[in-house]
Amino acid sequence: MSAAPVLEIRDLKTWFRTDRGVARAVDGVSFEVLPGETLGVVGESGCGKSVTALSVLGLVPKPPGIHAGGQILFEGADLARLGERELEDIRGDRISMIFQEPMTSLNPVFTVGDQIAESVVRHRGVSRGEAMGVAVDMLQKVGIPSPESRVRDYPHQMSGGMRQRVMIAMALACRPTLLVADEPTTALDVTIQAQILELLAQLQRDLHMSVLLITHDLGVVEEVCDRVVVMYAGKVVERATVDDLFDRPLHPYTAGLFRSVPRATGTRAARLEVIPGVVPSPLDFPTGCRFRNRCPAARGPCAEGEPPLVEGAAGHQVACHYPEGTR
Amino acid sequence: MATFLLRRVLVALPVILGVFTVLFFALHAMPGDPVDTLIPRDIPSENREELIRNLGLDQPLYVQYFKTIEQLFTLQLKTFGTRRPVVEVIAEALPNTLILALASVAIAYVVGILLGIVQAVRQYSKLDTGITVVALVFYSMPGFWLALMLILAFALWWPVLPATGMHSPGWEFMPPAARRLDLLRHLVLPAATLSLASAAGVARYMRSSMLEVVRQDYVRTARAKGLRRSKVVFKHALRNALLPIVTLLGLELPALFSGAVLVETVFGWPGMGRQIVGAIFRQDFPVVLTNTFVFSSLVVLGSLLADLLYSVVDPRIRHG
Amino acid sequence: MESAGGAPGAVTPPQGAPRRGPLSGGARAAAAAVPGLGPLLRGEPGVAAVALIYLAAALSTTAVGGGRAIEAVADWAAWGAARLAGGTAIPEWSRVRLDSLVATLTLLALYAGLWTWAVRDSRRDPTAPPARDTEGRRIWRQFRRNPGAVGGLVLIGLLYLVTLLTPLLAPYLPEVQMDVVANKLKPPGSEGFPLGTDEFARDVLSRLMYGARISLSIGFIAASLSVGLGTVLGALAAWFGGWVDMAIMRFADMLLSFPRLVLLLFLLAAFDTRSMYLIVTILGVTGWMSVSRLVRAQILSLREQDFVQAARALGLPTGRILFVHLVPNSLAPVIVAASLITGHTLLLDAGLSFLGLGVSPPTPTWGGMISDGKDLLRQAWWIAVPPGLTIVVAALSFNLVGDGLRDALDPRLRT
Repeated sequence: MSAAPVLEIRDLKTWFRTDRGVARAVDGVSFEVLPGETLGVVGESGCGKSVTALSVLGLVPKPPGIHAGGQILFEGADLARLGERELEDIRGDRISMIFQEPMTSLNPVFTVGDQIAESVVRHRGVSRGEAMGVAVDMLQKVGIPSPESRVRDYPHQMSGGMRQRVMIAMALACRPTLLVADEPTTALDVTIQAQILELLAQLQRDLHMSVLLITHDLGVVEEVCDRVVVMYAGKVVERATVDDLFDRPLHPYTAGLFRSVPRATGTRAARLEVIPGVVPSPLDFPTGCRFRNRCPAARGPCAEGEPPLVEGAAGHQVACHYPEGTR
Repeated sequence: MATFLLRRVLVALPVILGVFTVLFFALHAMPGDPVDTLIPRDIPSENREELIRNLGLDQPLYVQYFKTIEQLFTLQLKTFGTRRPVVEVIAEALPNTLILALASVAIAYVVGILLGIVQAVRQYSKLDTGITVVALVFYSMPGFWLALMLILAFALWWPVLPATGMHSPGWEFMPPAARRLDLLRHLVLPAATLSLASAAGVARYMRSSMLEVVRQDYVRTARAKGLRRSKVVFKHALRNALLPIVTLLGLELPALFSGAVLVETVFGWPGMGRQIVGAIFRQDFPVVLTNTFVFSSLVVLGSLLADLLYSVVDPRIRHG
Repeated sequence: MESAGGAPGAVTPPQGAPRRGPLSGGARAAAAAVPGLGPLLRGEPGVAAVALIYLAAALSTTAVGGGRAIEAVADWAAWGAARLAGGTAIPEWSRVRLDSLVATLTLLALYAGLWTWAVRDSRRDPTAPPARDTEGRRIWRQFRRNPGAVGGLVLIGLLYLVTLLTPLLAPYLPEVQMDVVANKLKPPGSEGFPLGTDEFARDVLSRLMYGARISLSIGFIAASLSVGLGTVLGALAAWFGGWVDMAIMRFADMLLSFPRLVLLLFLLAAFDTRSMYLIVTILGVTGWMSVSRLVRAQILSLREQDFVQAARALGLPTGRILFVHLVPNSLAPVIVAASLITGHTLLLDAGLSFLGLGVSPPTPTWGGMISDGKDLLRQAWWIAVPPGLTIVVAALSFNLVGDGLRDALDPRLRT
């Protein structure tokens, strides 16, 4: 864990202007992705994890989005400060992204081959014919049978799982150093999910790339991630290796998450529990700790200061005044 | 694809026939007698009855109905007034209406689509607002009044274009090139009138279609690939945004013909619109009925072409 | 890409000047006395402008037509007294004077409305927390933010106000012909004829104002008829499905596949004289198709939703579910369509009048006036130009309001 990080996010703030004030969707997030590793970002919907992912590639719609502070360091440059044209050069080449909805993420009026080749033509400057060759190779790599004919198919001629494979082929066509995967398996059937995760893991090894995996599924995290960042209400509340986090969650929110997930091999909870209440609106976060109105351990000081992210155990940071096990 | 088109035609046929039937009986059920418009009332009654017999108006209505249909398809139908074959009369007017309609559609869609794209790309800019306002003004303007204003401006106050008709006097003796130029000069004002309101509608539609498409996931994917903004807009977004516009083309045709009726009347353009207005006032049933038949057939043909065009731009239809 | 350095204050949206509190003392009294002053004092120039426009309309009508208003009231009072004393028939002047009486009452109502509003508004506390946020309030807030839409609404209000006040405002009656030799085709700005006269020496301004009553009434009533008919037919088609749906929607397709103007010409050419009611009816029954499609599609999607399924599970009768739950829920897009259809109907009616198939002369209509002027363009452009402009303004207002409503109703555009 000593190599220089591929991506380093420092105190990132991505906000949205709305009618009723500023929504602080991402509000001071820091983490780094190391070479070759898979970093998971987990949290409930609305916690800001997807916005974080979009921020990395500069894909947050502006307006209403605004970059309200922080740095996104990648290969020595701060992506947050780059212009649109420089970002375009990086997107799809050194950083790629795949999305949650394979059904709507491919353009219905162009062939899949065309959509893969487009990226290669753009970044490698090769001819269209050569790029189509790359597209066939990539389709083969992602396990699509008879890629030579499939390359001429339109998205509607493929199933959801196939389309997600095409998305992956498109994203990896230029062999990026970093892949941002935003809930890549959420919309798929469980059996297909496993295949896609397996495929991603295999391609990651082959291409030596890092993966930033956004998900709300703790099962997925346990299966494929090396380290995990837990987000709540636009903040990082806990950061650890998968083993540490699953063995001993320190933040009451993380612990609550674990207790609310049905697990086939559950060691912890026999009974499912829910976290009471809902995620607070990003327009109006509570003062102090943002989790306190849902927290079983909340007490006086929690309303006062926002807890900083501190080392709770070796290599295991937590943002809580009263972490689990200290009460 | 062929079966799809065939099915469309089969669905359209009863509609055309239905329009024809309803209008036939409506015409005959209406108060007023076409004979009155042909001859003065004080003509001796035996002459009058002979005329009624000649026109076939003495027969039971259902006999007239089937006879009219038979004559319509065997091209035997004759006008009440001059007893010329209706086909001939319409054959004179149809090409003129098509010239006007096609020119207007072409201008309206090219201008409208371009304006819509500009507006969507520059959403909320001054340019966007300006085009929106101007388009809405033209959209809210009666075509026949716009026609008069254009005549006032470009034919009377600043006489650069002819106000009415399709040809200058003596055009028969012009060389072909001059003839074409002459026709073009006569076409400018009517086509501008007809296309301005239509272009305004297309631009409004194109803008919202484009803004809708720009929000789609696949546009974000295209951006995530690192494509240049121009390529994202003009390749990925535009192609999809055009789909509803193609459908609009098919739906707009009846409105276009409505507009043509007024514009042809104002500009004295010898087309079907002007012809049908005259025939309605004269109660010349065969001309009215044949004209409507041709109108509805053109509408069906137009929407069929729009469907074909749609299947060219949308692979989901082509393969589905 | 903007960077605000992370200071929260830097990115909060500009609030403008701090909101002022409620008016007090003299300011409140003054605001209650002069409509429009209150909003001006509180720093709401938009609201103030609207109030002042209507105040100006009321005052100028009083200045121009106050005499006529008094005359009308006096005449009717005298007739009433005579009637009580022994009864006389309705007098010769009644048609004109009835119009004037209605106009006088409208003017009084306008004053009453303005001052009721001013008094209530002067007590308003702008800093008070808003009442419970309903869907209606949210839409209205969104609508108000669109200057075009608000402008359109104000214009529509003014246009209809003018149609009611015309008997007090118009210089002449619309059919009145002056000495033709001396007064025909006078250009605008002539003595006594601000917009000139036509070839029969009739005052263009008066005809324009009286024409507004006919044209605007036809547009509004015919559109309402279309929308009502379309709503009912669309609801029936969606609810009963099967052959009812089939019959209604095929019939709609048929009407839609045919140039509507030609259809209208057909129907209207058969009548020798055409009253306003005939035109309204025929325009109404040929314009319902788009609304019925809209309502049908809305209901088909809505009836699958939970609250309808719940109502059915509770065993509520069909009619009740249909009209109490479904129709109101699909009404929003219908209101938008109604506004746009009104604008469209105005244009269509003008086209009919232009072809000589509108309301029969000598009743003035905007389309008919354009038709009168079309052959005199070279000598007297002022006959055809003003009615066209008023048509554009009226249709534009309805389209602006329709667009504004559509945007206000579109949840995706809400941020």
